[in-house]
Formats: sequence, structure tokens, C-alpha cells
Amino acid sequence: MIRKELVAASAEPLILSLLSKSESYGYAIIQEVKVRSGGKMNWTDGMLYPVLHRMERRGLIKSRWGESETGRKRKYYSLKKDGKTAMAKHHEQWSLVHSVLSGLRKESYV
Amino acid sequence: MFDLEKSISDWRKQMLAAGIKSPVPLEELEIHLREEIERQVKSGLNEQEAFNFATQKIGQSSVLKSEFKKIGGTISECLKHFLFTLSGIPNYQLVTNMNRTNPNIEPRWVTYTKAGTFLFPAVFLWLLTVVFVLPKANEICSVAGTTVFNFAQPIPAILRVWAATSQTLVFLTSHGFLIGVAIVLAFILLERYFSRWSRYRRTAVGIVAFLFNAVVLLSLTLMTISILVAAPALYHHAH
Repeated sequence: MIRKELVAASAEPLILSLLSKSESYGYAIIQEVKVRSGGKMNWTDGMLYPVLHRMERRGLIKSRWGESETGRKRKYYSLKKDGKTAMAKHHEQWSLVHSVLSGLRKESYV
Repeated sequence: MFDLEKSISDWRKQMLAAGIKSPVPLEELEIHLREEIERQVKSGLNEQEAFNFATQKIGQSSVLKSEFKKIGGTISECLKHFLFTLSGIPNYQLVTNMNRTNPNIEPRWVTYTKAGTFLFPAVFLWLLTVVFVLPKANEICSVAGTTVFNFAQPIPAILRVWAATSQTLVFLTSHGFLIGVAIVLAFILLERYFSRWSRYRRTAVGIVAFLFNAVVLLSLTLMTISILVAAPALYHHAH
């Protein structure tokens, strides 16, 4: 299980990256993260919504109400231009952290 | 016998009691809850187990509330809220939250209607002053042997404040139509040619409405005060 601080820090880049593929809604976002992490990243489901709303307020994503195939109401989120920029920045920073970390790990094996 | 609808409505009440009051987050949470219950029921749990599992997974109301609270907590947010309220747009967060089509941007007509509503009292007071109060004030002044609009005459200092504020109002009145047309034209041009205008619309319209109100109300207040203070001076001037 991944530590909750890391889960919190990675929420925004993960949401941005997911939404950059296509628009999505809360439940599906959680499911996809769960599947992709092999069940190791577990969000408290309700916590996703404050994060989404915060991102929306900052102009990174936008939302619209729609309906599922079964007629259930759903709020779909999609990426805005500022969101794309933010995503690129996140990717850059996370790869930097990753490369420093893996560089250090290699050295420690030598 | 377990009643799912009742349990969901109890859960809703519990969330409301914890302070998740704005309709959109709660509605979204409920949709999520129902989706999770449906999924768990499909995978074999009974309704009660599915409900318990889903509510636990969605999180404690108190924790969720503190998370939702963080959304609007910074100083700049408070300041923004304060300025919006001053310019006649109270609860702009609520407005954005309850607007279902695009919660981020207030629809055009709402912004302009609100600005219009907010400007109405100031415009009304202004016209009232220009039509009724100013001529009356002029009359009183001429009886006292001076004039409101003349700085050149040796008049008491307090009358100068009166004169200045009256002149502001008269200037606004005589050029008001032109100023109004210019502002409306500017907004039309911005609506048409500035693609990102919808982002700034609310702020810009709010600021214009605020400035206009400030000028009119300040002039009126100063005028009223100066009239009151100047009354004795006028009396002496006449005698």
C-alpha cells in the first residue's frame, strides 16, 4: 500500500493525466487509478471530489453534467488548456524526482 | 428489513449535518455512493453490506467536510469574496457551485443582470438628486445670494465641497449618456473579439459597477453632509 502523503501528492498529476486521455467522472477516475496501480493506490473515495473541485476552481479542468447509459446523472470532468500546462509541469517534476531517485539507487548498488 | 433509500437519505442528512451544504458536492457524493452500492450488489453483496462498504469507502463526513472547506480558504479567496460582495455579487462561490452547465463560469446574462440590479439604486438616487435636490439647492443658494456652481465667488469653504460634489453629479449627468454608451460599446467589443473575456467578465463588470456606485454614493454622501454643515453658513451669508 502506498503511503497517504504520496497518494495525496500524486492525486493532481494522476487526475490530469487521466483526463488528458478523455473526459471522465469521479467514480471512473477512482476505478481506473485502482486498476492501474494493481489495487495499491487506495483513495478514500470522497476525497477525490474536493480535489476535483479545487482543480476546477483553479481553471485546470472543467465539468459538465451528463447522463450514463442507464440514465444516471453524472458530472463529467475534462481538461482545460491550463490543465495541460500543469500536467506537463507535473510530468517534468516527477520524472526529475524519479531520475534522481533511480540514479541514487544505482549508485548504492555499486 | 434494510431499506436502502432510507439509509441513503440518512447518510445524506448526516453529511448535511457535518456541514457539506453546497448542493453539488453532496449530489456528486450521493451519485458516487449509489454507483458503488450498485457495483457491490452486482458482485454478490446484499444491499446492507454494499451500503456499509460504500459509505465506509467514501469517508467520514467530518474528514470530507474539512477537505471541502479547504477549497475556498486562502487570503486571496477571502479578499476576492469581499470585493465581489462589495460590488454586489454576494456568494459568488455558491453561484459557481450551483451553476450546472459550467460551474466555472457564470452565464453572461447572470453577470449583466446582477450588475444592472446592483446599479439600479445608485442610478435612481442620482436621477432623483439631479431632478429634485440640485434645483432646490440652487434655489436656496440664490435666495442666500450665492450659487452652487460658482467657485469664483468668495463663498465659504464648506460650500466649495458642496459645489464640487454637485459639479461631479452634473458632469456625470450631462456626459452620462456618452459614458454609458462608451462602456456598453467596450463590453460589446470585448464580448465579440476577446475570446477569453468570459473569464474576466464577472470581475470587470463587477469593478465597473463598483466604481460607478462608489462615485455616485460618495458624491451624494458628501453633498448631503456639506448641505447640512453649510446651512448655517448660508444663513450668515444671506444676512
